[in-house]
Amino acid sequence: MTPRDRLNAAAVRVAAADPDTVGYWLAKHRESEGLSPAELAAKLRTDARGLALVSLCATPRPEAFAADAATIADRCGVDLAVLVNVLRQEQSLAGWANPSGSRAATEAGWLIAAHDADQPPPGDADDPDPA
Amino acid sequence: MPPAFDPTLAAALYERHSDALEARLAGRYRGVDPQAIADAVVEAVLAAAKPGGDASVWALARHARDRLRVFLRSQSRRKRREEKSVTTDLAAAPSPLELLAIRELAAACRETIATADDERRILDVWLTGVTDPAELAAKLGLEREEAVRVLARFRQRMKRERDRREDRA
Repeated sequence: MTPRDRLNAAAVRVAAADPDTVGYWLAKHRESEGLSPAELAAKLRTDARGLALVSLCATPRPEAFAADAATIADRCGVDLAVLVNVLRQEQSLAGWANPSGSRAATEAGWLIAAHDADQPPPGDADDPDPA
Repeated sequence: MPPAFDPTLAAALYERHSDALEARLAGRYRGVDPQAIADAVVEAVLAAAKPGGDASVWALARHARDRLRVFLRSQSRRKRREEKSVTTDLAAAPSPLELLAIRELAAACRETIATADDERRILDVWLTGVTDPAELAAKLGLEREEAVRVLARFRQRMKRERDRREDRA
């Protein structure tokens, strides 16, 4: 294992424990889908380096989700549509499963998810951040 | 005015500085687990990218070094605890009678306690009365730390075996 391999593995592992990072949601996705890091990297159409980079990125802000996600995908060389789907799926699941979350917040989460489903794929959108 | 939010700041810092930081720490802390060094570098990068974090090279280097020191201190504390525990449970032998009971138990469930060949070698020498980890290591040509670790493992397995036997009784 080269120092670079070790650093990439550390980036994925350390970010997985930090909810402010994309790596946290990717780790949840790996767990729920039973994916290895290599399989997740392939799903995102990237390699170990790309997976490390995207893991370290900050979780997109709700008010600028599309723009932040597009910046991350572009900078880290990952598939934007897959990244958005994974983040949306895991954040919706977390909101749904969170027992401390209020009923209103949970319903709002579902409404956002339903609203997003009606939107064109992020890659096709003229304006990635309508907000 | 606060700087514009950049969700990829940590990734940029990682690409720019992680190799140099890793090499610097590896050179300065020779013999330290390389994975711990990599973790310290990544933790420093993430901390620097947080709002209000200092993303200068010096801050990154200082933070990575501090994280590594914290890790080394906790590792050292854990080692001391393990050694103390081994000393208390196996090496010092609270009383000859208790030591005899421990040895009888260890001999009776040798296969359960020592699952690998090198472990069985250590257990067999320990059963002859060589209970000091340093002496044990010298006799078997091992590092003292290795003997301490194996004895700690024995202690845990013996405790489990003792509990199992008590449950059955």
